[in-house]
Amino acid sequence: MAVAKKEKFEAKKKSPEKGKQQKAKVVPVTPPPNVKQRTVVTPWRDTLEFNTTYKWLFGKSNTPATWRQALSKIRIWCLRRGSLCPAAVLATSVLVQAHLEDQEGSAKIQDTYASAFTRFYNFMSSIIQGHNMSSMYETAKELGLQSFIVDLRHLCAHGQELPPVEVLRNTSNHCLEWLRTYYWLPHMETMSNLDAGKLHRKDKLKFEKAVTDLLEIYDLTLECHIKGAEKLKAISKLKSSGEFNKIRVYSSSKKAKTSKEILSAVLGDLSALVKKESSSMKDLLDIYTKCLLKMKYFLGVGLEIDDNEDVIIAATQGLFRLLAVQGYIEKVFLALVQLSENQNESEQRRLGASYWAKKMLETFGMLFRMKRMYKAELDLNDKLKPADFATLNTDKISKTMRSLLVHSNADLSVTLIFGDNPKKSRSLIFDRDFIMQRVDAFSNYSAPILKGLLPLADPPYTKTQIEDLTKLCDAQLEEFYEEEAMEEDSSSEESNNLDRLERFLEQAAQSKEHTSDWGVWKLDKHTDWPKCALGVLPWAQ
Amino acid sequence: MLDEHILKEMKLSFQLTEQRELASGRRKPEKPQHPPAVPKKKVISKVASNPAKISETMIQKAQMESPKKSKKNKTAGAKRPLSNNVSNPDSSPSQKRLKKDNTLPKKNPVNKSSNVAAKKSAATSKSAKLPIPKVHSINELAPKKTKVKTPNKTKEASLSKKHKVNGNKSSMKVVQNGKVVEIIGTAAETSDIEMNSLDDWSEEDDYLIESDSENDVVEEIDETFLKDPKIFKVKCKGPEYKLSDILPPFEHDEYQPLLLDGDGSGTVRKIKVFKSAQEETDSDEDDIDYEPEDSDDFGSEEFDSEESDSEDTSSADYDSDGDFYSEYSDMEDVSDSDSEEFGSDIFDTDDLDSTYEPPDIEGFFDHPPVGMQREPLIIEEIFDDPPVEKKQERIEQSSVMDIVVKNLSSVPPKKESEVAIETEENDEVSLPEVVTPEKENYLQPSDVPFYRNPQANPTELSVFENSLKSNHVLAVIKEDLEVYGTLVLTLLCGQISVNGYRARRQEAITIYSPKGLNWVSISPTKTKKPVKDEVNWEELNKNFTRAQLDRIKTSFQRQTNAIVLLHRNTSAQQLVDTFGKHMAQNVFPLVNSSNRPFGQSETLLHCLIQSSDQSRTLQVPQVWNKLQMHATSRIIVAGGKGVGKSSLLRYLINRNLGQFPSMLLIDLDIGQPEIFVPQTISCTVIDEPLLGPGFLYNRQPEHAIVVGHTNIVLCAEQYARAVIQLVQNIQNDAKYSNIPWLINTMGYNKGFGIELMALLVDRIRPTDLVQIASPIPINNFDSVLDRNSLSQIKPIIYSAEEFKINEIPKYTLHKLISAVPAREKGTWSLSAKDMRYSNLLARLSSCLTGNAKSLTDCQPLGVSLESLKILHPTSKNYSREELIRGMEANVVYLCHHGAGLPQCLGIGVVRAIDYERKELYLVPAMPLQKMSLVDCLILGGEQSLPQGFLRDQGQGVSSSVPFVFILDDSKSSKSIQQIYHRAPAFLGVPANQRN
Repeated sequence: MAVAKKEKFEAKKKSPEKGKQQKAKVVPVTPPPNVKQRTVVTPWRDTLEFNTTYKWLFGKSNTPATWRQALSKIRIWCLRRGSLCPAAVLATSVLVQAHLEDQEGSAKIQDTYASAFTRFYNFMSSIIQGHNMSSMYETAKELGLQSFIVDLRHLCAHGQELPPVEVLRNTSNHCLEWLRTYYWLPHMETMSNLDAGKLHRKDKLKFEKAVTDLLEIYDLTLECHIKGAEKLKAISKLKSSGEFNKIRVYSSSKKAKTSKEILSAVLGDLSALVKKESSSMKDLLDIYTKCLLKMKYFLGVGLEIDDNEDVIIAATQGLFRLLAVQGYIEKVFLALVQLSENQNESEQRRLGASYWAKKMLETFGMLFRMKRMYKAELDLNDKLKPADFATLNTDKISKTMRSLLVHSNADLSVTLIFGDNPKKSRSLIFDRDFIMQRVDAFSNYSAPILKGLLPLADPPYTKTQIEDLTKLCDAQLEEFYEEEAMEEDSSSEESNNLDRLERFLEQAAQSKEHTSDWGVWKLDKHTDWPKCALGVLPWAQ
Repeated sequence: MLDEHILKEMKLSFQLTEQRELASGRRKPEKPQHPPAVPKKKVISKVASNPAKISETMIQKAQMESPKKSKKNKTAGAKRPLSNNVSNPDSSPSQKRLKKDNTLPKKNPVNKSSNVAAKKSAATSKSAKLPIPKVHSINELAPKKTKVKTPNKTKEASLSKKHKVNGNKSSMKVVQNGKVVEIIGTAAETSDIEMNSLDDWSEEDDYLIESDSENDVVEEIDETFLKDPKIFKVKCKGPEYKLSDILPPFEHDEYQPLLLDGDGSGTVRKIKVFKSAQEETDSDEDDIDYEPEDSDDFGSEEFDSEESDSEDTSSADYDSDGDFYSEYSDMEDVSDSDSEEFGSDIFDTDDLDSTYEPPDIEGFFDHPPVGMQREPLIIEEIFDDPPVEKKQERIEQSSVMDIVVKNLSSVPPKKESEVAIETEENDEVSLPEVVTPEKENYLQPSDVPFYRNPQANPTELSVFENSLKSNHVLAVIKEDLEVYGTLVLTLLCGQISVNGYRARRQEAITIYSPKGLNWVSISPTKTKKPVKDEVNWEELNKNFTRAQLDRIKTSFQRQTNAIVLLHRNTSAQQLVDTFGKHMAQNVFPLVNSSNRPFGQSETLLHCLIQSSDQSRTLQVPQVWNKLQMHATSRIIVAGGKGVGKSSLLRYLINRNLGQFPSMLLIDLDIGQPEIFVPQTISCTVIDEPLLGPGFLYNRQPEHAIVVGHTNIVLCAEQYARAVIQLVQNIQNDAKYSNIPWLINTMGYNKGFGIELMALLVDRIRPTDLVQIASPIPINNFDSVLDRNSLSQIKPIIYSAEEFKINEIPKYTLHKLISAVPAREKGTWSLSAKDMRYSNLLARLSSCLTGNAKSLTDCQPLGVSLESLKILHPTSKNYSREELIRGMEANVVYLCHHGAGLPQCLGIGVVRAIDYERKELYLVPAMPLQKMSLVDCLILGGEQSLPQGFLRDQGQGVSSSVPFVFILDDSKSSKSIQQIYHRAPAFLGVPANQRN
């Protein structure tokens, strides 16, 4: 007993000295600011959880109880990330576990320490060890461990006799301190919680900013153009000084004198920018679409039409032609549809998205009818010149194409004119499943879109079906407005509408039941879930 | 002069060593180990030979110094031991060895008398000198023995028998000398050597024990320096002993060269001391520490494994550097999935370890001859024609050759040409066995994309017509086509076979052909009967012009071509997007190029199509078609890793769907399941073809049980109980009794794999068992899985009463040879880790319903925590609170906890947990209709949410992001990596093909 007390006393004496020495060493080893960084997924939720665990492990007032708390936390971390839990964390836990058993007076403490020691070294050496078989001494050197740790590890793993308990106890104390300075302290000092904005890659942020800046100028200039301001003087009267300066700087750099020229220049820059980044960025289209939908005036212009829709169409046709040439028409249309159906968005944005989606559908219908007529002509006349629908994206239109345009029953003055992608011509038609999704999300914002989609279904609906469905949508829309005035629940409305459509379409087997029984589970109707990252509650922000 | 110089250097080096030992503090605790008396006695008994060796060593050092000075490089020094080793096979050195052994007994009596006198004068100092040369001599012996073994592979079997008989380390000596004797061909000498070698080995064992205590040696060396004058005294006495031991003139002349050879090697070792004292110290420590470790692990296989490891290391140096560089490049290019890509590569070796335990030495040595004996039997049973046998052997040889190529990241040009020749031979050989005709394969230039096929014959191109109005493609298929991507195909006229499935008319079939596996092939098949024109041309005219239809009609030949209608697989859009976002490799294609034969059609379908040269598609051996299936068939498919179990399984399903509209797939593979998620076993009714990996179809099983891990060793009992219950559920259900069963098994063929197989056979009671053999012995079971072998299995792991085997039933055993073709060099393929990851991605993509693009866009389901059971499948050490916190933002198994083990219905992602309200919010990746049955969550094993889902949150996320940090890229934050080194011999590579 006396010997044990002396040993503990010596251990306590040694630890503060080691701590001081280690602290002195840590200061000059601060990593330079240019060190490479990477985004990692960790088992701990935030810095609070990590720091609390550190305190439980190495705090001045730590006790067996706090050690048990720390071990429990590490077990949770293993559950969260499985085999991806950091090696240093697991190495710490095996040593702390041995210490706990030591304090509890285990009879097999020597075996416990030996096992912990072997696992500690195996865990830590694995992060250095590669496919090159290097010596354990070299590995220890690279880790910054004393070479005698390797000797002890070998004795614990293979020795006929285990080292004395005192040696194991002192060395594991040393290793715990090493783990603290090698892993826990540097991480605690450099780690900080992340917001969603910081999570994106720099090149993506840069691209997004470039697109946003260009589209901002486009949006501002579009407003001026539609309101009749052509030259800089007129523009300066409509816009604030900050906004005007943006336009002025851009127009001077591009030598554009009128709002029309500025719009063209922006589209040219957009085309070049997207072309430059399209091969290397995987989710470029998502960023691009997101920036497009951030244009405030562009989205809202559909709500302020007063006999000037032809001006709006003429002004924005260039943008849609650019999207067609880039091959992004379908994706942008889908984004507009989803925006109009998104209950979390503002009413103005939903109405604006609905307007532009409807306008695009008009063009889709026009193209569909043009291609149908063209096919009919081909059946009658094999010698007809081949028509390239991609030429609709330019101002040079062939006679055949012009003739098809005239006979397409579209009011050309208020219809966006764009064609196929030059390289990837693809008919803009939609699966019935896609249309059924729109039925599920039926609302007054998305109803015009649904009606516009019916003629473009694949496989196509019959004429009678289209007429009936259109009437059904109109009826439901009227009832929707009436019931909305009566302040009734809209979900029952959607359900009722769904039932009728399903009955008519004879697709009961594919119906999705919103009100079916899910046992102990129920659908959470909080609308802020998309704003929360995984692990975050909407009402806990 | 030279002698004095050497002595000074020796003193300096030993002083440096001593100082380092003192600094490290190891000297103190090991002092008590010095006193043991036994080593001293044995050391003293060697005093007589010491003076001669010391003097000889000094001379050798002087001689060796001159070449050292002239050539100041390590290569010269390294070559000398090799030259000594090369001379070993000669007859004269072996004879000298024999005589050396013969002289040992004569020396002993004389030495004993002189030892008594020596003790009185300088007992301590003399004992200090002895261990030094012996330590080196032990090291010298090792490489010699290993070298001699190499060219005599054919004798390993017989020699291993001797090893078994002796059963101790000294048998290695016998084996070593036995080889030498066999070369000479004298039986009498063998017996003599055996007698002497036993003594030698026992002596060497003593030195091995002594060498473990390094400080003991150092301490004795230290004493030597203190008593330097006595060295000369011993030296003076040396000649006297030699005179008293004079041998016959002939023998004496031969004796000296032996000493020179032995001392020469020792001198090389000692010269290293003077190059760098520190290096020498490290080197000694490594050697001393390494040998006991090997002996503990491999027993008498020590020297063989040592050599093998060395060779593997030398080749691995280059390989690992290349791998690391490629990984680094990948990390830079696709940093979003760094960890997954890196983890995928690293843990691939873990998969090998999880299914393959190191074999026992006995089994290891026995396997080659047994395998050789089996091969003719297999060939005889399957093929009757002798030419086929020869071709089959060629296939195996080429497979082995390709395996060698796999281990090398860089192959010299000559070897590449050899590989090409082997590949061509392989193609030629397999012609009569492949159902579809096979074309000759040429190695493609490296600048051609991996999926392109520049050898296509333009005159045989199929005809593709693209609709103007819709996104359909009408095609006349005239040749075999291969697909990269996913599409929907409808047969209109003619006959086609898609991976063995004969498509029916007007039936839409979905094809998934991802990168990393065999492409799915679409092959027109000949029809003997004249087929009526059943195509509804008027209906097609709605989408295609009359001219297009006329071109289709004119190019269609009734008996050899097929007309198909192709659509884009729009229902798989979320799946393709998920793979594109979270998978580093383009598992599904990015259709950008427009310079391909069917470029426009590929754009419409978003899928690459090209004519096939059969090198990247499923190659069906003829024997597969001989496997008959009946309504009551219970077919187990068994075999090691990578033999093609899944391919055979899919082929059997696809081929027999015409006869049996539905069949039951019992999936017992927990690592790479065919239909359901990893770490589970399941059974699924299959009524549609599997044209590609089964998990991409996201089908719902009939029954499934969570086992809990992908490593069978960690869940052996859980696995057995799950299988027993699953099979009972199936057997008790009448609807499965009259349909065929196909049972997929895991590739665990070593360890207790055969014991496990016996248990499966007993519970399932199959009608047929298909055992696929791999050309690599490590990937095969240790015995044929016939009834007799399985009946004789004595369980070790499954020794409990609940796992008792009643009686192995009668079944038909089909022994097949693996038909997996050689993988092209540099071609990426889905590893086991990648397969599991892909499986998880496919399942999680089903969460994205409606307009959701990421998990954060999905509307979650809420539940009270109190109404749920929360379990860990393999561990009872976790509290409920720990499990709840562990599943936050993680993947969990959704189960129904009724009678027996919980039934797994699917997986889900825990969106968030409200600890105050005690509610959990889940995004399910399974049909909502079945959520009413879910009352239990299981968390555990290797399954966790892929990191990409946490790093790439939805576009609308504006909150803080837990579990994600931007940290310095340092090694301290890395996770444990389990990398296993396997020698080429272990993997079954023949000796003549090793590096």
